[in-house]
Amino acid sequence: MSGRGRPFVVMAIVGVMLLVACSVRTPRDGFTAARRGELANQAGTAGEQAGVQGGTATASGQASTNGGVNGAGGATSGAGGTSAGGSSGVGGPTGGSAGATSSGSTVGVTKDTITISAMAGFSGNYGAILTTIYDRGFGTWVDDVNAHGGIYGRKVVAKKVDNQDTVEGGVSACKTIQNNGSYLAVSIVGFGGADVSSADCLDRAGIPDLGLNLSGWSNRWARVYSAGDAGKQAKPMASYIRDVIGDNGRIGIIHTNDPVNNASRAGLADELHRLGMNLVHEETVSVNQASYVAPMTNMKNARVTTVALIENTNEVIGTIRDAKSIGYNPHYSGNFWVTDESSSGERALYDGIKALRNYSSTNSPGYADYVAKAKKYGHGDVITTGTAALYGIGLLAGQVLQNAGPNPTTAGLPGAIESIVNYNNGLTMTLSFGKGVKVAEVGMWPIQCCNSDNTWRGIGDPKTFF
Amino acid sequence: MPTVVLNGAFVGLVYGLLAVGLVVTYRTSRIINFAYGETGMLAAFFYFDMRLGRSTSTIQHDHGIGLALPAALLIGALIGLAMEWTIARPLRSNPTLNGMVATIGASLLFLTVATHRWGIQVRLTRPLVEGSGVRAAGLTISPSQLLIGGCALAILAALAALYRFTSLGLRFRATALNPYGAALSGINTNATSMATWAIAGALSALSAILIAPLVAPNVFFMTLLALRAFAAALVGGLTSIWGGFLAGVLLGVFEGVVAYKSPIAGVTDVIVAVSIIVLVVARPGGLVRAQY
Repeated sequence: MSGRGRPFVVMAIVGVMLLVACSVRTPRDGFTAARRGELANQAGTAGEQAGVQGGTATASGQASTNGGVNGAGGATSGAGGTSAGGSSGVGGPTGGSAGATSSGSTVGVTKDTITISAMAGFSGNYGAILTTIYDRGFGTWVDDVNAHGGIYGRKVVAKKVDNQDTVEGGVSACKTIQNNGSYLAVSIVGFGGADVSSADCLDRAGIPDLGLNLSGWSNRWARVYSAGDAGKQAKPMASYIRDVIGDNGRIGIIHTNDPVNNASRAGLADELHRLGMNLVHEETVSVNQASYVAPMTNMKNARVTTVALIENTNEVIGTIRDAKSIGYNPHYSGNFWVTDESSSGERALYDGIKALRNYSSTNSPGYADYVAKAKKYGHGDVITTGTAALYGIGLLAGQVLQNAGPNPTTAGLPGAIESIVNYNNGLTMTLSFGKGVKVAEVGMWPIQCCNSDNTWRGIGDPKTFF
Repeated sequence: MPTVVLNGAFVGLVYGLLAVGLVVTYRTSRIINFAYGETGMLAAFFYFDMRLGRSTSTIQHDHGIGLALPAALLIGALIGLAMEWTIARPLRSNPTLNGMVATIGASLLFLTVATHRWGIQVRLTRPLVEGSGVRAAGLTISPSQLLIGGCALAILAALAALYRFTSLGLRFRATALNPYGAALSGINTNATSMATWAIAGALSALSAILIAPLVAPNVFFMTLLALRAFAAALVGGLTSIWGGFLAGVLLGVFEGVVAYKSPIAGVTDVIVAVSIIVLVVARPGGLVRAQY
């Protein structure tokens, strides 16, 4: 290479290494990331449907402004129904719509339809997977709701909006939503900053955004709601380690240096301190790191008895494998990496590990219900806990629409989201917003490796504290 | 510490192996092939399909390596040939930077194709050799790691013999030293270039297949490893096969020691990157100068 070209190449390579070191997350764990925020559920289709039917109703109960209470009438009829398959119904929220204006004046709402937009990187690197799970999971929810009359008699029209997994794509998705006549925007997942840029843009545009798996958060956002905050998802792990795994000894955290895992690590560390547990050692690793012998040797030397794996699937596999190679076998727990896809391949490594997940397992009643519906509506060609999670997101969206009441208004939408309290649809994580709360508290599913088909086995109900 | 150093040496063998392939290409074309890792990844995933079936999460069957391994090496070589034909050759008279940028484009293309074909989840695989490994310095060294060490040494010896004792190697060296002079002497530089890219492609495929069982391979598994290999090749001297290999091994050990000893979490990559800058500035020609 010429003397002139060489410095460029050196700087280019080193620059990329620094970028990786300081880095933006490169998601590699497949569905994991996509599931991170997905947890939501719906309060039960049946209840929802009941509300729909009854919802001709009227403004009689809708006047409640905070959505926390229902009024009489149609809104009430939707509450308390149990979702098919035994998942508990939402309990009752519901809420009245905050606004009492006529539906004719609300963007995205007509006499016969209500339109929502669902954003994800459908043309990004994970586009094929996202498209598959969206079409099967979310599509099942749309078909099911509409087959039962829609929400308050309005058919749900779901628009798939591509955020391209880029910052620019997120802004473009926001512009699309501003022009496609949507009542509600749901951000399923957005890599590469797409979720944050779209949220920021939608907030400025005055359009409420229900963001699942948001990789960032701004306190100045007024209309963005986060369901599945990474820190909130990690909090339950502290009491889980103490009371379910049964280790109140020496705890260690190994985490991948990316925004989501950093936030998750912070949430867990705070909770460990709050509970007075003994966090004795922490290690930070890079995405796709080649070896974990050094960090796990440090864990071993620190006599850590339970290691919390706040990493992506690839790093987790390497971490456990390298720990074994140095004869170190502590307890493990973790969250985001706990996918059925990886457990089928790495059963020998994972066997017996107790972890937490933001969506349920194949042995949950909600899953069986989903499977039946997916088959019923012709989406049964791909059925996984990943597609079930997308169905759960549909249920959550449906609950928000339900809470918005029979005469939904844009101004009333924040109240409809905030009235999601103690929400458990049996498929995704439990969620609690509340009046003025924009980042939901999260309840996680306890699971253990593994069922006979190598999927993770549910070992209880989702909780925020074990 | 001995455990970390020994493990680092085996990690370094991986970097070294990849660096060798980069050097082989660079010597002839003066292009750093940024799609080198992705070439191997593609070939490795075809190998998985042929050997274990198309499911990424289960092993449907195991047809063995008899057909899959040669086919994967051939696929790697063909990808190398295609890149020579579409990138290296048309851009030969242009600044080398153009060719390098084109290989970055190729790497993105390969990743996109692979993502759509196989998804992003971790691919279940099976090592070329099974066994419980051997224990040394508190570390269990897996048969796959031992195989990588053996293959790396064998490949280095074979390349040395090729360059030193064969007429093809003589043409490689002539083309590397002065492509215009070689052409004037009657050497078909197009053919030597094609052969070089094909060898590098096959080498990338073999490296990826050897490395995959050591990591949790998804379609990105070679990308960051190759980045380390680029650094090793640069530090080693870019034109020296032994230099690149040696730098790779040293990088692996250095990385492990830094990760083990660093008092601040998360700075390993930063320290390694800064060290590379310092080293390259202090010794611009690399650790080893090529002997043509």
